[in-house]
Amino acid sequence: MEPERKIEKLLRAFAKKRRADAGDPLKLHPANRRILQDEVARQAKATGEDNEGNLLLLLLALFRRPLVFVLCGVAAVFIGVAIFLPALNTSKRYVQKIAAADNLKEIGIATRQFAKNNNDVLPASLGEVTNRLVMKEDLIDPVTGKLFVYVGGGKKLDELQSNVVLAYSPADRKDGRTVLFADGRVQTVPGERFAELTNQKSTELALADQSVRARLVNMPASEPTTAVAPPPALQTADDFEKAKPNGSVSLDFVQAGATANLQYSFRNDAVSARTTPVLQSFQVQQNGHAISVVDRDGSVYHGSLQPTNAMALNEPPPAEAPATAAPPQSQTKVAQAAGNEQQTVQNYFFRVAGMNRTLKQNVVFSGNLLANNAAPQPTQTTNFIGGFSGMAGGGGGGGGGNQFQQAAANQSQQSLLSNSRIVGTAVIAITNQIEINAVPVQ
Amino acid sequence: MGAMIPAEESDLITRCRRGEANAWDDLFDLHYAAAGRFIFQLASDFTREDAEEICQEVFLSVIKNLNAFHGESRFQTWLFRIAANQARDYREKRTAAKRGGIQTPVSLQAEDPATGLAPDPPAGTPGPDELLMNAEQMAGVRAALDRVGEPCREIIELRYFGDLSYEELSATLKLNPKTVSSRLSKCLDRLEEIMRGKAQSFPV
Repeated sequence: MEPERKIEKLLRAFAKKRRADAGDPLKLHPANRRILQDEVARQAKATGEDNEGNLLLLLLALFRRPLVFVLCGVAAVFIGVAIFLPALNTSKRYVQKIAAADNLKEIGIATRQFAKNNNDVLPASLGEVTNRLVMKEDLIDPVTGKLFVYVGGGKKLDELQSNVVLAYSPADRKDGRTVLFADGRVQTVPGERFAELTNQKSTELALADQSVRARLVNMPASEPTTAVAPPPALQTADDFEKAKPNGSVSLDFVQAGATANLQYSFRNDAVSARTTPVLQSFQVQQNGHAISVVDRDGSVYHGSLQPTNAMALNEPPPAEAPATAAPPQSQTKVAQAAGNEQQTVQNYFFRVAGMNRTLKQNVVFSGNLLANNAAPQPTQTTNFIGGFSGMAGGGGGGGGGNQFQQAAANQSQQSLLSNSRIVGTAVIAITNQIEINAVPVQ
Repeated sequence: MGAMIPAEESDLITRCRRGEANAWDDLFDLHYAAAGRFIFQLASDFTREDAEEICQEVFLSVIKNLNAFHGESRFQTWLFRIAANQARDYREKRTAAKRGGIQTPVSLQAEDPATGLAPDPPAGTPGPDELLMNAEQMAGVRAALDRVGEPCREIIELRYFGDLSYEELSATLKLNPKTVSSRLSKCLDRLEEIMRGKAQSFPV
């Protein structure tokens, strides 16, 4: 061991002197201890956060290479999707648009064919043509997967202008809607134009409804229709044409003695209607041509009823029909003769419209009142034909057979409602369409 | 105080790293006095208050940098190294202040409104104690240490004021023990030379 150097001795002496000068050992003051403990707490918190970050960094370090591959793959997929998806979507939309147009064309052909076979009257709902010419899949809009909205139910095809909308796609695309017109054209109609076309229809319908209501208001319930001046005797076909009512509503159709509204309740069995609160069950009130449908929530839809065999009735009367006011016996004969003709066609078209209270949306309900096969056909047929014969026969109903006819008419209407089912379509707020297949509730 | 077997010290450090307040209290109690004494030795002009202030800074630094302690030496050795550096910084700061760097000007004409007396600022000249021979020697040693340069100052302070062995110095300074011995010898030679230069006025 080397001897201690002088400088070392001096340094040790310096240290010894300073230790002696220091006196008692230093003690940590409580205030300083608190400061140090606060710093400890801060560091512990920061360390905890760092550890979380470190864990992430560790994971990143461990899986860096796979992560890079995955990220590259995701980026490639993203770029591919960004490039190809718009093109695919465009193609898909284009194909769907073409498919929708094709389906509407098929519907147009089918409805025209139906009208051709049914005195030019279009089907009340698309359901009536599905079994014959069009499959159910064709009634669905490929864009939305919903049924096409059909608004031509019960209209007479030859009375429609070419630009009247018969059916349209519920999908409101940027370029417009695919629309089927009365002349069989299928076009994509821009939104504004479509609104014009559909508003026109609504206005016409509203006017028709107003007309019916006005007539109902003006007509006292107890007032028999016989009070209305009977039309002049029809000598020729021209006379008959002149006497033909202009609209779908004819006061002549009001049965003599229809002193009170007939009403009957129906229940809708169509599956598609179960999801909406519209027309699941409803009450039908009929007063001559005027018809009101009272929905379960109290919403009332007003409209009119007309026979779908109107063309047959508008034909010139047979040669043996009396030229002047016919006696009751002759009228009965005419009625029987006409009844024989009408036994094959027993449909009555109706259309009602109004605001649904629950949805706060307009509802247009059109369809056919179909006589049930189980119903007593002779009574039903005879009575309704009796009503029509009053018109066709030139007002011959004003004779002494009125009392019998009134009672029979009432019975017939009640019988019609109680033994009929209602098949049709309800369009809610233009776009939503539900099928109606309602049966009377006993 | 201070004499901990490595296992206990390691456990204590581990608990401190987990942020246990009790462990830190134990650590302060174990090392605060030793650190204060070590700091007090580092300069002849350090007061107890200076030592406490430096000690506070040392332990704040320990709290912040405990993760940098890897157990290659005893904790106290690592602590002393930090203390030596903090003490040097403190002295440099104070020297700069004395040179006017951060001195606050005091007007000699200004009077205390409460007492009506003029302030009596401390004189920059040495006090009566420092005029004594021992005090001059001590100041000479300190001045020589300040001039000897960083590597030598550190190793000399740790060796003679911290009482670290060669092995501990080797571990702390991450030097070969033989290198520690030769470096210490050279540093002492240099310190002697500086002191001899001073010896013209202050005989060693």
